[in-house]
Amino acid sequence: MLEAAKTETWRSAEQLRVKEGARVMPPGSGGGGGGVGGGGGGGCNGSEIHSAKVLPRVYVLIGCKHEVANLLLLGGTSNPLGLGVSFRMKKRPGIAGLRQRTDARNQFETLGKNVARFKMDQMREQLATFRSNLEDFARKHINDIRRNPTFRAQFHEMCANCGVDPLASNKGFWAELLGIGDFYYELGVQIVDICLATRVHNGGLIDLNELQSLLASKNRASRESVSEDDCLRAIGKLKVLGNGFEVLSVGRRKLVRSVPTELSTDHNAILELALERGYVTSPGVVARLGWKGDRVAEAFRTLLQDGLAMVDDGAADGIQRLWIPCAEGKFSSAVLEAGS
Amino acid sequence: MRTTDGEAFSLPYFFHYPPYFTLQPVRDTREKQIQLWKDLILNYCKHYKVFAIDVEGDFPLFSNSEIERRLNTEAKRVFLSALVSEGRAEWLDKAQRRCLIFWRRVEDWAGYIYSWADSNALVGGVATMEELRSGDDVKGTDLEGIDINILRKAMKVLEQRGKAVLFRGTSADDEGIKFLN
Repeated sequence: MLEAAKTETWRSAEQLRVKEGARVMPPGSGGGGGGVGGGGGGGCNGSEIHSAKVLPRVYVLIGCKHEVANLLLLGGTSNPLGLGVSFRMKKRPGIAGLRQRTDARNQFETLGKNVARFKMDQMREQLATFRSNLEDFARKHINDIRRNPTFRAQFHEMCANCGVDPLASNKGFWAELLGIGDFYYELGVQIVDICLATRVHNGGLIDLNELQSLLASKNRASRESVSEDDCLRAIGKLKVLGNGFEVLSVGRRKLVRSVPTELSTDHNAILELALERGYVTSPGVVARLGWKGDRVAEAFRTLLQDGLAMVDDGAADGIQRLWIPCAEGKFSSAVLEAGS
Repeated sequence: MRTTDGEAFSLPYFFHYPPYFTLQPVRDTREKQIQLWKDLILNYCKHYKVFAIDVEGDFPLFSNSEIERRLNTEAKRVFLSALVSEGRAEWLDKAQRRCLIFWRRVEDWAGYIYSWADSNALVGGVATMEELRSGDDVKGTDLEGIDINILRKAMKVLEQRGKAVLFRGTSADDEGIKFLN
């Protein structure tokens, strides 16, 4: 009798704890969520906890519920996620059993949907937080963004990662805050200026490094340094104006093309060779690239026709040289001065 | 070569780039090349007060020993002829061996000479051609050493304007001019 009473007491205590919902903590579940309670008020619907055998399962479920409840708090909603899920999925015979299983499935579905929606909300919220932090950050570091090219490049990368393009429009928050749109538009205008002014020398192809140092000398007064990344971004914006501007990779160097000429792979190969010494010769190209003489002559002809090359018959060895002016960057600043 | 004030002439970038010493085969490129050389020749001649160029001669502007390039005769003739067609130069002979360079246009020379005469109180007076080229009063002016052919052309312009009367003699010593008010 005494024994039975003891068991009874234990049971009721346990049931009580279960009915208190999330307050019941499984051993080693991490603790902490003491104040979560209430969320699962109806949590024991359909659950019957009769014996110690069932208990571990209950614990596990309560543990989960605890986490979900935590998430819920973070998400700021008070939806209990319909946590009336059966704790016990023991098969029961008959219509009641079938119904119960259908119910359970429905409940799981609702739960799943809720979790998905919740995650979505949470993501949105996180993104919003991130954006506002980014804006704060931009405001705080405005000077660094304007002055320091490395910092600027990293800032752009960060913006791209969260779907913000400070250059997308000249209006709106970013432009107003940073004036960074203006920075790139001005840079773009300067790049166009330089490309046009040096075209008489280089035929519309200019080495990116060269362009960069010309920009730097132009911008000396404004104290702003211009990085390669800045140039590429500004040139990217210039593409809107048509297919006039493009950055070509020739060997390890980058060339900026400001004429709508299409360069074939043959031209590229010759340009790459020419970047070594500033010029190429027909026998040299035949030897290096293994082309037939006709192919070299055709490539030379089009390069000359496009104004990207000049012939030189004055070499001591008597072999005609084909000079590629864009490989002679040292002249560009002189060309600019002569033009102004 | 040095000017009177001794300041060296700064040669443009293309003077140090070998292909500019070869006449370019493609028309657009050649036109750009001709334009650059035309400006260079005029500026150079103005700086060093060169009044005529001998095509066969060893004109320092037409070669660059640093890059071992020199203009051939055809290229020189093409550049100078381009100046001639603009009225900034004139062949002295049909064979195109010697070319006058008008780094100051003939009409401008006329104006320059008259204002020189004016500031030297020569208006109403007479001067010989030789005095205008090598007299004490022209030392340090642009007139010093001016080519006699250019001087005669400028005088003709002054005469047409009614600002001078020419006296023709048998030689440069005899030739004279009276500046009119």
